[in-house]
Amino acid sequence: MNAIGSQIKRPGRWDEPFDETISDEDVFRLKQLDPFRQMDPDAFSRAVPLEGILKNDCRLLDLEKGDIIVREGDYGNSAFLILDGNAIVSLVSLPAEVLGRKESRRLGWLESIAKLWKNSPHRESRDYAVQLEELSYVGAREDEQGTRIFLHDIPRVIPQGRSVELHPGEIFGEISALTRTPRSATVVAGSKMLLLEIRWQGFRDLLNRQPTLRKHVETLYRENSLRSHLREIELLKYLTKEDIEALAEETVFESYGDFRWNKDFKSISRKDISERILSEPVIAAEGDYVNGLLLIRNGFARLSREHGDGHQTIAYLGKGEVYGLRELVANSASEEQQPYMLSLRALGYVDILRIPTPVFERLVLPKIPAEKMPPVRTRTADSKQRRAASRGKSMDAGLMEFLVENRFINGTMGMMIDLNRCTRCDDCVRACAATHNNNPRFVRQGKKHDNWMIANACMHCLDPVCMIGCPTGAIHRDSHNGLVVINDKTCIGCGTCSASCPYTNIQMVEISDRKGKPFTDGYGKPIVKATKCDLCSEHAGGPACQRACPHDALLRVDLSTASTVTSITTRT
Amino acid sequence: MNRPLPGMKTDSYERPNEKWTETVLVASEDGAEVTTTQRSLRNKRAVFTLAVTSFIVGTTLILFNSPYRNEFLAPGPLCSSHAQILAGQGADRCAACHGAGDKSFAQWFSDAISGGRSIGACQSDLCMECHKNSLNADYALVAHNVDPAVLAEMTAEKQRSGQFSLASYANVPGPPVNPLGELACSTCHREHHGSESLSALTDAQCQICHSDQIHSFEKDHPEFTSTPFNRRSRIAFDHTTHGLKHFAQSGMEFDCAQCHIDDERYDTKVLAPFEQSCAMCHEDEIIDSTSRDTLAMISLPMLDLDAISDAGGDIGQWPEMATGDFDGPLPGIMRLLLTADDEAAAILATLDRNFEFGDVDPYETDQVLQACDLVWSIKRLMHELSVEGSEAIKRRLEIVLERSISDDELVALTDGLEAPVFQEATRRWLPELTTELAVRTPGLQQYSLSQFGDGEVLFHYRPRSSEDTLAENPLKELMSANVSADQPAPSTPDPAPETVAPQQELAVVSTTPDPRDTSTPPAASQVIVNNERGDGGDEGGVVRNQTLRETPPVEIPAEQLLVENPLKERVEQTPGNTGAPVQVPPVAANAGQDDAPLAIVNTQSGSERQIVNQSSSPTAAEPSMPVAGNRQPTGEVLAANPLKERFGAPPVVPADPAVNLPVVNAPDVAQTVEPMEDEVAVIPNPHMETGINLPAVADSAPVSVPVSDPPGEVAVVARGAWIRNDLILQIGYRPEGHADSTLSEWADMITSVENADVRFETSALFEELTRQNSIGTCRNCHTVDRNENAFVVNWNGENHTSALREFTKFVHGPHLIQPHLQDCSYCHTLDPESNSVASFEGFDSTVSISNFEPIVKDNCASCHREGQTDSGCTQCHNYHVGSRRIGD
Amino acid sequence: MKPPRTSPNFTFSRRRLKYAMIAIISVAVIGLLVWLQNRNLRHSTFFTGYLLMGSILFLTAFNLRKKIPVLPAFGSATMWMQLHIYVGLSTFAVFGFHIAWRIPNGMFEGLLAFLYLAVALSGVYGLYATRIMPRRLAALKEEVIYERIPALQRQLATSAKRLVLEACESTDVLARFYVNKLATFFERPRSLAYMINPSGRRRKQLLDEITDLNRYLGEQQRPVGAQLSEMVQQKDDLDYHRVVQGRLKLWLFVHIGMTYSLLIISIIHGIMAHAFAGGLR
Repeated sequence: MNAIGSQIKRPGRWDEPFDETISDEDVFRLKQLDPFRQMDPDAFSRAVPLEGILKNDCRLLDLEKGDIIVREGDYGNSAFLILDGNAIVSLVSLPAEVLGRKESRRLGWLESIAKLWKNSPHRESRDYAVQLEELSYVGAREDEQGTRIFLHDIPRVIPQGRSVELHPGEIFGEISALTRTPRSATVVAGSKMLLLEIRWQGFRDLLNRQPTLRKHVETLYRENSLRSHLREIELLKYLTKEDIEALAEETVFESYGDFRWNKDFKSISRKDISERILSEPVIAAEGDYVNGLLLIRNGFARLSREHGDGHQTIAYLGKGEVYGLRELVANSASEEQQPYMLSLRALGYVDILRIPTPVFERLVLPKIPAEKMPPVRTRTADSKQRRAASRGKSMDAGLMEFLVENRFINGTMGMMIDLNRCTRCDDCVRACAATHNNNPRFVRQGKKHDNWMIANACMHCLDPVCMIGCPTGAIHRDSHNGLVVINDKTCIGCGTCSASCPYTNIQMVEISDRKGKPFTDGYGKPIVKATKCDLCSEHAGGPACQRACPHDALLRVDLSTASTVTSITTRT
Repeated sequence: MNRPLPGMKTDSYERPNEKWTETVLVASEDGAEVTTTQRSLRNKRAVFTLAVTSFIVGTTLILFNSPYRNEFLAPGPLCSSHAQILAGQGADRCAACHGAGDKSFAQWFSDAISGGRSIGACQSDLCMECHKNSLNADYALVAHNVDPAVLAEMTAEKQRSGQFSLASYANVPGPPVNPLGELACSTCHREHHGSESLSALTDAQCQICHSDQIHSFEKDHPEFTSTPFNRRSRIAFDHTTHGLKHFAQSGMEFDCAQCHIDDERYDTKVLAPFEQSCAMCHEDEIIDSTSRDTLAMISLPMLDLDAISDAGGDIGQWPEMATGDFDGPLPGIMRLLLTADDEAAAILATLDRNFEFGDVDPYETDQVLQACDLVWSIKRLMHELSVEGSEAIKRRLEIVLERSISDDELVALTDGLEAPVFQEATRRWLPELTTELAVRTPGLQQYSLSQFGDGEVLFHYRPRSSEDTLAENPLKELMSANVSADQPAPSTPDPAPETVAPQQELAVVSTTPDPRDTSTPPAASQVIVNNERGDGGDEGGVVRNQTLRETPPVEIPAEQLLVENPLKERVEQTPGNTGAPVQVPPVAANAGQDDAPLAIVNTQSGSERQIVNQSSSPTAAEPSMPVAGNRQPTGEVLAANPLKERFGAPPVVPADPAVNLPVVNAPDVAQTVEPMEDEVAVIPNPHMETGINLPAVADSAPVSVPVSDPPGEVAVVARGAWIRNDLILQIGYRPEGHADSTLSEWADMITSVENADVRFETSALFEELTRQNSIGTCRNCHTVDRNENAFVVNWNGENHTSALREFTKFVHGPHLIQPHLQDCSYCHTLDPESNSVASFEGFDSTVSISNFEPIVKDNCASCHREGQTDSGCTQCHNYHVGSRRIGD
Repeated sequence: MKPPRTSPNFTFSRRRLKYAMIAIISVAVIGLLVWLQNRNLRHSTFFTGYLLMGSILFLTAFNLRKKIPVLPAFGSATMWMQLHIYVGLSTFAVFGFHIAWRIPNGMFEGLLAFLYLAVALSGVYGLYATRIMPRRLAALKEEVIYERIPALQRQLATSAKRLVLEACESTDVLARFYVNKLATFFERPRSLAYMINPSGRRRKQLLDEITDLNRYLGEQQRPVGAQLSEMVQQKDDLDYHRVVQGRLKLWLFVHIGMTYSLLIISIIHGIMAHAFAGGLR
């Protein structure tokens, strides 16, 4: 076969603007509005001017009353600025059917078979003649910007008094956009409104250039997102609305570690484990005075205790977990004040909410029912009891270290292979290939800890660093199932994601057309695309690899929660 | 097919789904990457699989079409016998048993698709190709080879009697039967297992259908309830009385083997023939009864003429000696024949079943008149008979029995009884008969009766029935019937009735044909001679010498006798008379071997002579004797005569008919029957057993010389002949002894009539023939069975009626090898108290009182038990019933 | 996100017990039916024949399932594997009933029986292998993909050679040792004996020799020796992987290689059985 395939123009940063229709006078009008009015255009780099951001990273939405703007749980990648009209934030989580979360993109089994049938014999062959299927929602309305779902009757879905109203000039959705967390609430257009949607690459640039905006965002965060977050926390669900608000006022918002931890992760991981631990930013040290209850807002933290000269990892805390509760309870119960028993270290980037001790004792402690209280333990009894506890269904320490050190705890859908059962038959790989146009999307190879191997398949991380720095947003959270997927159409093959994935689970491949001839640009260089596991999101059966394993060896596991891992590793 | 392009960098995915794997080899010298591609292991596996599959399947298909096809396909060796049979034929060996055997694979396939049987004959049919001879072809495939209806009946019967239960196919998935209830042979007979038995059937398999579980013979097989045959024996023989009384008293050994002899294959016991078993004691009974009276066909009643005239009836001429008070029987045969006459039928229907003329009350006018009508119908009968002879009998029987009567049957019944006999009788008893009838029935077209010697008598006859009935009235043939011209010329009829003088009792009738037609070819006598040659043997030779010595050949113009002796035709018509072979040969055999019969014969014949002498005297002494008185000696005389013939000759040379006639008879007749020559007249008649028949002829020899006949005589014949008795005005048949064919023929005829015992036409004759101590005393030994509504006389006493397989088998042979079994009583123990007589009285064959204790199962079980002799179902029970036994 | 199938009380031993029970019971039931049919003079061979044919088709369908990985309706491969194992084992009994525990003495039937046994027994070996071998592999330090082994060995060989070349300026001890011993070990595939029964004998042998060698090595060459022994172990591991993974794959050559002929021949056999069946019209 000859190397000269069909040619296409090499994609660039703003080749695909967020919205084609946004015009220059739109941009001009926007610049007259807050907060852009205060912004100093010179503060922006020439490569990325404010106009550019507004033109390419923004889009204007004309919404009717009842249109759903963002859905709770979405991994939205953009923030919203209200230009006109007002929005309603629901404080109750809405039923799925209302949110239109139908598996409409799932293929019927006939389609699936048809797709198998149409599989190309060639590697990585693409067919750009075929348009990607459009999202289609039942009861939807079409407008020039695409499809919109709207609620016929807002009060019926969102009960009176369980909602917050947002007004022009307010920004929402920015926290999710910035902290890569799912939308905390559903937002609906409360009236006919005009909305500016800024995708998070653009918003990030704005923040970097505008400290005022950053402060503004932080206040916003404290006001809405923080409260709803506090409400989500198990421990605080006994508090009344007023308590929560009071709590929100008092809560300290801290963040540790590097927002871009994955950059130096590989270099660190080469260091010896003990010094690696020491290099991790300490959030609270063993033996420190107990100055508050720490809530993990985002990211991961390592719980460790001094063991001989080194530090032994006891557990890792993920989003929503608390630190120091036991100590607080114990101290409030007795006169003898005891310090933190374990030290908490930031793994990568961690957001912390600190509830100071007095606030805790005033607002929270009285509300917690006795049975929810952790057992009071004296420091002496502690180690014995912990050993007793660890003898239960707790994760083997070695494995935990393994998962933590390699940051596998980040993965929600890590591919765990039990090497004691795996016959190396490669059925999983073939199944994967069959469901992906004859191209595997993972490598049955990876780091192993005794009989457990985490294969090189996308883990769909809680903290998907791969999405950082994608110039086009081709890699994104699926707005339905939150899976990290790559829009092959818009991927420009820059390799950022592949490079930033700490687990090397994204492979750059050279694509070819239906005839198997490679696509090349004008200079004969092949066009490459980023590929990775999409967990067979469009097939009803779920991940084909797991279903294809005849020996129960391969499983897609939520590594971020220790209990799930344990339930797998303790199978007998 | 996706081989990576040379020099092209590839992603780091492993692609086990592709046919080709590339291996990146780092060349040792200048670390330059070299990529080689090779088939993936899976691809190699695919190629290997393809190769193996195509090889094996290909080879198979080749072998299918090769000459070794059969060897290749055969699923295993055949059982030895089949293997031997099929050894010869090579290519189409399979086809002998399999319809598909010679078909192509494609045809098999279409067959399998079409659900089978689309190719060739089905296997069971092919099996029958060879086995049709040994199986009951009609029901070869149904259960037990028995008509399902019959089988169902038997089953129901047995279930009623609680003997066994039969599982319905509902509760167990029984053997695969088709809608016709047929089973494939292969259901039980599974081939291709080499030496394994093809016919092995386990008890469990029997008990699929026979659901009451019998686990072992000795344990829970039901006790035998009946003697082998659950019916009374066909011969009314009471073992107890015989064994314990009769034999004991006569000091004879009651030896089973005398009557129960082995069949030719020594597996069943069969009855010895009459002559060997019963004859020695019971023959004379039969003789006596036959001597005492005859089977009357015509009998003129005594009529009270005064009463008749008072009643205003008219019976025309009636014999003097038959006048007086109303009296006289109405014999069965005559009754039967009369009912063919509508008038008589009408009357008889009203009369009592066993009506006698004695019952007529002279003072009851209408009874008397009825009697008259009856008498007239008798006269008509007489006339008809005298005109047509046996033809009339045939016709009337056909009317009454409503079935056609074959010539053979007729001959057997009438046994040569022809018109002349009746003409003679008519001439002697009712000379006016024809004219009377002519007067009574005027205005008819006339025809000539040439038989009344000189001068033709114009004679008008009109059937009593009206014109329309004329059509079906058999009598009408009479009008056109031209009676054969060659009737013997009788002497001129007596003008006056008084010439028939009562005191003149006996007369000899000559039935000798008139001399002009002595047209018999010597061939006739030749027939006899041939006969002798045929079954004579050297004894025949011996006897022959005697013949030469003692017989004046001239005296016997055999051909004259034979002239009207239908024997001639008979010999040709009915070859090998049915009864004969069964009885005779054993006698022939025994006659040579054991001398018992001979001894008996000698004594017998001795005593005969005396009897004869005595008997002859009184008749000689007092010629004039009262009728009543004179019947006796007549009886005597008549009785005497046959004995001579019978025991003089037959037992000695039963197989030699021709020769024995001179041996005894000529001299006997010469000496002893001399005085009664004028008393005896022969109506010569042929007989099935010429040995018996011819002596009669011989008897007639001396008297057969035409003599002037004094009026008023009694025509008498030898045994097995028709007798005209002028004393009692009767024509009847006298049986010749045991197994008289004519008598048995009449018996068979009457018993075969439906409800013969109740119908007024037949009941009389039925009663006459089937009662105890009837003439010939047949019924004393031969039981009569009622089946549905007709009857059957068990002439053959054999209980093993069929040569075919039955449900239960027992072979005496091997058992009798055992010393302790050789005494029959080991199994068959006589029950001294038992009295089986009752069981023989009725017509119901199932009423069975055995003289024997039921056979005890333990007798069998003492050997046939687990671990000893085989005690499986199939040891005693056959599945295939009705088929010929192997080797037959 | 649907979590991996791990019901709290699920254990492999429990599942094994359950399926084994079902299999045994169903075999018993089949046996009963066969006995009943034979006792009732019916031809149980058709019953068992169709049962066998059905089982074989079902077992073969496992392959089809692998070709269509996406459908939930088809059930997970695990479930199929379990059924494959237990149905497969059950067919031994059914096969026994079918041939009435006789050795078939016809050529055609003999061939058929041979094919069946080849497939079934290879399957049993496969079951054994897939349950035993993986643990041995898991015990090794490195996990490698079978297809990559040649490349890795090649790399190992070259790097080992390079290492020795660089190290052998001062003394030729290493070089000689390499030429005499290691070269063949790194370059050549292992002996047949090793293929049949892979043992660590040679590995140990070589390692000992290398340690002995240390006495003759200078300071700067000692680490080279250490590296070499490291490489030896890697090479040995690779060889071991090759043999064991090979075994895990090779038995399928018989198991699948025979399957299709078995299918075709048994179909022919079935057609004949019908065409030649002794029966009624």
